[in-house]
Amino acid sequence: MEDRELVRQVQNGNKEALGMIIEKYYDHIYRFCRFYTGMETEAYDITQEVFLKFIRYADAYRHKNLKGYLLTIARNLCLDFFRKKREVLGLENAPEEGEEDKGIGKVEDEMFLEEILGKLPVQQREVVLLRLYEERKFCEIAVMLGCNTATVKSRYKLGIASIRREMEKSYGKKRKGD
Amino acid sequence: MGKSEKEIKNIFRQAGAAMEIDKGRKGRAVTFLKQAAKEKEISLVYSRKEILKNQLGYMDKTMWILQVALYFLAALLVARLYALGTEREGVLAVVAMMAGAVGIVSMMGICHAFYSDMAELSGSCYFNVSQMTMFQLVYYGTLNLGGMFAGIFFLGFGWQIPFVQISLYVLVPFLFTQCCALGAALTKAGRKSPGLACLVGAFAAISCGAAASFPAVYRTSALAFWEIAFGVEVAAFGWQIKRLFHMLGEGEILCMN
Repeated sequence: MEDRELVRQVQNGNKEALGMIIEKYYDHIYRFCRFYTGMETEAYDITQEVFLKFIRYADAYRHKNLKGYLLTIARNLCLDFFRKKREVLGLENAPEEGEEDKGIGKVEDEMFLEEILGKLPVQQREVVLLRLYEERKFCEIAVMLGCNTATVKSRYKLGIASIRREMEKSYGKKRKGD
Repeated sequence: MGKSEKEIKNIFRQAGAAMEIDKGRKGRAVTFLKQAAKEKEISLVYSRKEILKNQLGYMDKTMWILQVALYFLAALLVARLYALGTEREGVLAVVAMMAGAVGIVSMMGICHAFYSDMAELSGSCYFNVSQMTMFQLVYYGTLNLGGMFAGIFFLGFGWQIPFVQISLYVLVPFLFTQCCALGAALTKAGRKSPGLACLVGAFAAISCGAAASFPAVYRTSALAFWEIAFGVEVAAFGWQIKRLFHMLGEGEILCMN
């Protein structure tokens, strides 16, 4: 079922449609949160919170882009998470945002990407994720982040340049190691 | 050479696809969320079409019917006067009063919501008083423009009066009466009682009719005064409408009781 139809059903009182939205976007939002925070447990918690917020404000939902709306909530909650962590631990002792949570059974590419993303400033990271992974247009990203398109493009260019540099370093090290 | 965007994108895609999601954890989360969804009270959300339909349903149609009836009466009257070979001044005096009457009814229709306590339903029935007022303005505006121009065309053709002149002779009394009636309706006393706006409007319409019966007002030299009067009335009417919406926005209309 299309998103528009699902939202229409929700607003007509069909609560099962809410469940269908959750099933449809859970994996997607989780992966976004995971890439954003670099932390597995927190990504699950944030994902749940994203959908709880959506459920809470389902009546008032007026956006035309459901996935974009969910990603915006996810992004804001990820930022809140970093903010709270800084407050709890104190600024001096705050861990680098996106510190990798070394779980068991991770694939090399995933680890590699998380490591690189973790090194990017948050502003560049979120733009790169939304553009490359979520395939959002620049103008959509600008609306989601509350800035103008030029700023988004600029952050994206810087982010991509950083990723390329890190990949070059990493492949360079690998070749030396070999 | 650095990786291309496409290659980086592919790495993202592969990493995303390879990212394991704990099925047990996901299952528990989804169950919890579905339960939260079941407990959520969803108040019905109407689409814009449905809101408009509701508003139309609640609107009092009496004024609409009265307005249309007035136009029919005016048409019959003018046709009768034409058949009787009445002089220009006589016809224009009658037309000025009819235009005034139409103006009064339009204003009563627009302000009717405030007198009937319908404005107080705004919280419960998805009413938007400003929207409703705008709709009324558009409705009456369209009807009046259509009716007026049909009348103007007939009068101009029947009594050989140039289009611009006859337009002024009809629109000036119409706007004058509307401005007076609306001005009265927007006062504190006027908001409590529709009679005051009616009375003021009627006085204005009769005054216009009386003034229109003098041949001197139809001289070519008097045309400039008609044009100035028209310009001033349009500006005054626009200002009053702005004031009306401002009062709606401030809640003054809703608080009158």
